[in-house]
Amino acid sequence: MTTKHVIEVDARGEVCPVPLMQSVAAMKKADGDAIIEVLIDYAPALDTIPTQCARLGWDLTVEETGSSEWKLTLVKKS
Amino acid sequence: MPSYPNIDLLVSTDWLAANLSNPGVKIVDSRGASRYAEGHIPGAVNLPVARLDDPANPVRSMPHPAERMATVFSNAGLQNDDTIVIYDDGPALMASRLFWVLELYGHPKVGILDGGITRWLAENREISREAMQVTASGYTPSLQRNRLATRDDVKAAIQSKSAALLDVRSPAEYSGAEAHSARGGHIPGAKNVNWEQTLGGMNIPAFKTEKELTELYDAVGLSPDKTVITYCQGGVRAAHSYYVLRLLGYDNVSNYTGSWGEWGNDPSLPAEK
Repeated sequence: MTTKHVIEVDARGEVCPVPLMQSVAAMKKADGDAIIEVLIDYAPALDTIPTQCARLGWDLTVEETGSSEWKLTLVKKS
Repeated sequence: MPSYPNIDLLVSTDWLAANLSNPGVKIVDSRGASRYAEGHIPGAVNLPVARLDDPANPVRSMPHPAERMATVFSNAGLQNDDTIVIYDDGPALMASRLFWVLELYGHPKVGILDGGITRWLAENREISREAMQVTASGYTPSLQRNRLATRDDVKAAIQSKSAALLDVRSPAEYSGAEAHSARGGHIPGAKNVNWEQTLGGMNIPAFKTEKELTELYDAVGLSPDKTVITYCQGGVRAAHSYYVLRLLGYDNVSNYTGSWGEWGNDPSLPAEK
């Protein structure tokens, strides 16, 4: 059993298209043993990041961590 | 600093440095709170652009309605007669977004700091890490409806050909090769000028010269006498191009803030590839 390592992308304070670009860059760079956690506070990124996760083969869960703050957890589909 | 037809909208670091103590000048750091805390221009208040959008609106990037925006601006200590200078630490995406929202709500004296805090730091100017103590003001927004384009406004503009549509996304997004909505493509008739093409400078963010920008927009048939609606995916890059057009002297510009995030997800609306 392998342990997945966490890559954090802190995109809080960033606006479109930066959170998306940072997330896509992390997905392209990460190997299959990585979990990517993306922190955002810009709501439109809740639309754009999931679209690219689906295209690049990553599962995504969204957790609201505060008032207008979210943590997106990305796991590579097996 | 290069000259532009609407040069009042671009503020030099020299001017700002000379006006740091001017009570009529309000400096606004449009970045997130953590970067503001790491260091900001002395006297700047923090108003992250993420706070400008209405979370209750189904159009994700729609700014708060006037009554809520009054509270947001008042809590930042802004007053209606302030000269507001906005900055960020990148190519003015965040600053432009706040610029557009302030013009949407009728603020008459607002500009963006040329080169932002990046130039300020490069010039070895003073930085503060003290959060500003803000006294809430009684800001009264005055909605300028002509600064906002809705989906229905865009549909009407397509039918009547009353406005030019400017898609400021990348060529791949425009063509549909890259899609961040349910479908790719662009609004019928829209011309594509990627917002990044307006950027000059190497290490310090800057806008291209008036001549370069004029040629850029002239190539797609735009001129300052035209009515223009800008759009992107979520209304931020569109706000940047909105600002550039305003700098060039365009008066009749609006931002379709719903942008492709709204249009591309609604299959009832026409699209081109």
